[in-house]
Amino acid sequence: MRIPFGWLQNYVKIDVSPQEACLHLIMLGFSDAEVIPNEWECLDNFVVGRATEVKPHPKAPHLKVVRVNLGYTDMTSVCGAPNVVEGGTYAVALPGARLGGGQTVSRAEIDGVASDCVLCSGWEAWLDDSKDTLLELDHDLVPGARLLEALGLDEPVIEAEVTPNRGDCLGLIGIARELAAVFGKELIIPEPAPKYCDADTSEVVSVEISDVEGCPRYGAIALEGVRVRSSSASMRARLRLAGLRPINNVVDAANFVMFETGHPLHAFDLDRITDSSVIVRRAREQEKIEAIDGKQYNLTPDDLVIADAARPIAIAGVIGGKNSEVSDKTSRVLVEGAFFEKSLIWRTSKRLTIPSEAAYRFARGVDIEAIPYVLARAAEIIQEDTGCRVARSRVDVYPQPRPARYVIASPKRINKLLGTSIPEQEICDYLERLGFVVTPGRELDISVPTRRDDVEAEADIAEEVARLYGYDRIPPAEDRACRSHGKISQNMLVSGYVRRVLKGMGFTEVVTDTMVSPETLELFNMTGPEVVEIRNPVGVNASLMRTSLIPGILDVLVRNEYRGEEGVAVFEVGKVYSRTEDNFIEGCHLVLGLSGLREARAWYGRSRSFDFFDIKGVLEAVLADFGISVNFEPDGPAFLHPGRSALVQTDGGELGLIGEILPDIASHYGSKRRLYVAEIDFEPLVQRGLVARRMRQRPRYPAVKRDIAVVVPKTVLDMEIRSVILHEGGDLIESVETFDLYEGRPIPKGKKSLAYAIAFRHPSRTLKESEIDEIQQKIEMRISKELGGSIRKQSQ
Amino acid sequence: MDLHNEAVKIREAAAKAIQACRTTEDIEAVRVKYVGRKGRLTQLLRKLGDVPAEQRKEAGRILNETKEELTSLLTSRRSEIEESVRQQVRASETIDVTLPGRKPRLGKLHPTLRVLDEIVNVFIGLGFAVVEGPEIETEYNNFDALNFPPWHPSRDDFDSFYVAEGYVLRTHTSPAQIRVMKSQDPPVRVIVPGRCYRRDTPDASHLMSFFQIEGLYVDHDVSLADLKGTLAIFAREVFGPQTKIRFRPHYFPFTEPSAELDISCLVCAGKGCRLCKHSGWLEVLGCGMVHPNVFKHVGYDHRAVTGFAFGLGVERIAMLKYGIADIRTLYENDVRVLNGL
Repeated sequence: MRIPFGWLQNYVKIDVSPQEACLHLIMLGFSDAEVIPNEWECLDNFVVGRATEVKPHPKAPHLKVVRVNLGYTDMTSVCGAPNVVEGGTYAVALPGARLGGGQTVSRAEIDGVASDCVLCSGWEAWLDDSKDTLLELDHDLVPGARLLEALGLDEPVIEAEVTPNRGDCLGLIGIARELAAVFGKELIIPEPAPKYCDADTSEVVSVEISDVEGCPRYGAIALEGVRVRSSSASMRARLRLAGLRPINNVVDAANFVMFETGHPLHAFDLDRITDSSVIVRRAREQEKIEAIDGKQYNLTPDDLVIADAARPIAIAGVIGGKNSEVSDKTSRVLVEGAFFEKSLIWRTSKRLTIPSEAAYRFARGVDIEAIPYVLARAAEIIQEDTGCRVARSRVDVYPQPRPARYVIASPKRINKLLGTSIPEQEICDYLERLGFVVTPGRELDISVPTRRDDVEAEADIAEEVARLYGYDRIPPAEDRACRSHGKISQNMLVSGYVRRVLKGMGFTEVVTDTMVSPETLELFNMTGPEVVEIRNPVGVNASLMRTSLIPGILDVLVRNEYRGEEGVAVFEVGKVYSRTEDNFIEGCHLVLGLSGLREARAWYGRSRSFDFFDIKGVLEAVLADFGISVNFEPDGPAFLHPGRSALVQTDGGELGLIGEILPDIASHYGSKRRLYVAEIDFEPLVQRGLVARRMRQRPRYPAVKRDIAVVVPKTVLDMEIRSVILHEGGDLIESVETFDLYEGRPIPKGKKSLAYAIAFRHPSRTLKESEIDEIQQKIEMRISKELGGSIRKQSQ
Repeated sequence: MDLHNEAVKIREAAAKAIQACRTTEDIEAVRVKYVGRKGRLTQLLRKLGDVPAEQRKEAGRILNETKEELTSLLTSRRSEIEESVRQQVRASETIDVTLPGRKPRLGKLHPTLRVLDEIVNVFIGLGFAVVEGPEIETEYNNFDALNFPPWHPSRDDFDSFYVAEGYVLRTHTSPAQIRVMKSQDPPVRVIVPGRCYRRDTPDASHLMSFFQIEGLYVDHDVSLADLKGTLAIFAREVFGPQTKIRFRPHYFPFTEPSAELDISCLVCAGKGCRLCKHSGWLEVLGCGMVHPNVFKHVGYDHRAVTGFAFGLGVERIAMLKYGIADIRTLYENDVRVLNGL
């Protein structure tokens, strides 16, 4: 909302600077109130000038040489406009001024005559679109005055945010009322007194409301003998400061009253209303209207329209129709002042994307009881300008007058809610300043002004009191801040721990989009009925909720590769989403991603790339930390490398997957690297939590250590050999480590050598060499029999 | 034979030989030669029996003293040599301590979540318990129960994402208020961090998905002053002890009275600069007293309890703390940026 500061002073006389007024407005709830830079500073080098002499140009017949009086000096201007006359008052652009067309004025010689300055058209002076004729200024303007000041455009303007509940402050009187209340000043409301003639509006036009819910009240007043033309300079200046474009004296008057009161008005050309009949109704299916913005709109029965006997003549509360627009041929005008249901107006203006000043205000609510006032005020202003006749009686269709609203409030409860001790008298005083009528008693019986439909209950009253008392005067009470005990959630506790562990392992945390494209899900074969779809996505690229964190982490790996990062290690703990027929499910996953170099070139060693076992080791460490034991089963979805992927299995089922991204997909993403990912369901970790494990007795008897080296076919898995060792060793096995893997000479082709360090230990006695020998033999026998391996003798 | 003279000679010769030793092997050779089992002094001691009885005691003393002296000379020379060998070894083991160390990889947590953790910890310290709610919410919890009128703009398809009839990607963390209050009786003091969604076109200060933290405190006689006190502590803890706060009236459907909290500008401390658009204040969160209609929706007696609620945007605070001008930077996931914060 723009607040021209001089205009505001018509309604409240406050003796503070505009900047100071802004601070008060901010503390009243009008965020970001500030004095905006003057938009008319482009008029800096323009002054008022009077033509004292107009002579033909000696060489160019279509030009004139004009002597211009600027008060303090005279200048010469060569001018081609047809309407330049001696004694005329014009806008003069001095050297250095920038004209509306963009060029800068400088002294010039035009066909041998020096020209010092430019007499301006409205377009050149930034004020309107007329290019061919000079802008004629009022004769009482003093030559030499700065145009900015002469036109009243030098007034400071405040811009402030009005929250959607305060439709009553979308007019200057509303803002003035707030300031008057804070400063304890009188609010000055103009009292319109047009001279009425004996005409009766209802005789010249009939009004019918067919949708009373959409339009509970419709008022109108007829004006006759209107001369439509430009408004006065001061009216135009006012509207320009408010950010509105002057149109003509009728439309400008309606806009002026809207800006003054916050109540939008609309003016129809009465002679263009078919059968002089006005009907407020819902639009019919496929009805169309051409609006005054020149565009065609398709209407639906969700839209409220003002119609005449034949067609819609306005989209109610949003925009007028071209077919009934006031033009310079108009002499009879019907001014409409109505109340429309907020939600209807809001929906229509949003659907048709017409963000009009009127729709903005109707959608936030106007004062239903102000309709007679705003009609009289508009009639008065139009009459002042045109001397038109104003019908004595208005049309006012208001089938069910709204009852006044009362709120009961107790000063004690208000103080309790605010944490203050404001005396009752002061509370009443604040409320009365804002126009509430307070009847004191055991509790306050408060009548709410009709313009304040946001005030419904005691809490609303408390806010009004707090605003005038001052939010900054409420004492901060910190002593009560510590009365209960705080607690972190299990999910945040566990994820916080794991996130910090991974950070220590060199992983950078990322946060990726939860909304993904169908293309991505198809690429990863993740489509299906369980995918949650957004019905109204902004674009197809973010139309589905992710079911896996892998596509996102892949994107991060590749983007960072593009940026030239040599080694990338990233992770995310985040939500995944799915649905059943009638339920939505949100899960939490952990994803790891690696690409590029693990070790950069360094003086102490060679560079090395990340590989499968780097990511596997990290995952194993994290799971082991939680005491979760898993198996890695060679298998995986199609987007992983078939020979380099595994399912992560626990006793309870599948926990996740790990592997190298299929090189085809990696190159589809534009990567030149091997990309490794692992994703697990994080919920089991959250459920298990950071449990304290019971201390284990330190071993009292020595361990017996044996190394076993085997040569097996390449297809035999480490896991298979281990399971033989563990099976045969039983409880006596303390640990098994695979410490060597070798292929190549002298190992035969198609085979590989693996070596295991096994520690045996008994908790309550020293093991005999002979029993270990026996176990070792069994292990060796099974490896050769079942896995086709042979034993390489190895010293201990 | 004069035992005494002999002993002196041996002592002199041995002392000279000891001085000449360069290695522990040299020392050992000298020891064997003079005081070993077949060494010269040992042999002399064996001849002690031949000495007349009256001189034997004196001779014995001299020989023993000589042996002790030589042994001690040997020992000290040996330590000298050993020390010098040790020194040589150490010298040969010298490394260039100015070479860079082996770099362990060290990651970073995401700035948004670091700030989220930090804020959550402040409120845990103030007695708030952390709860989390779903991102796919019912329209009822997200709007109706929070007193949004049926025509409120944010319900619209233009502003909120819908995934099914009556289900919306929550537009704020506030619906968790409803869940918490429906599941427990007062007093309630919770903090709800989480992801939210709005149908905004991404730009320097808007994203379609962002993090919020919701706070809620319901008890007897909770007042606006309590809210102000709690948030004053929050502001000092998160932004530094010198931070000042300002409460401004505002409007939210689910609080009444409503307010916005500003903190004194982190860059200019209130003097006015570009960050605060020369106002000296930065807006950080919205808050207010829980609207009686919200209490009615969850079945609390709005005459018996009062409460406050607040909701803050985590990214905004992360941007202020880390000096990030464009919110989208946070989610480019550029490790060069992330690891530098």
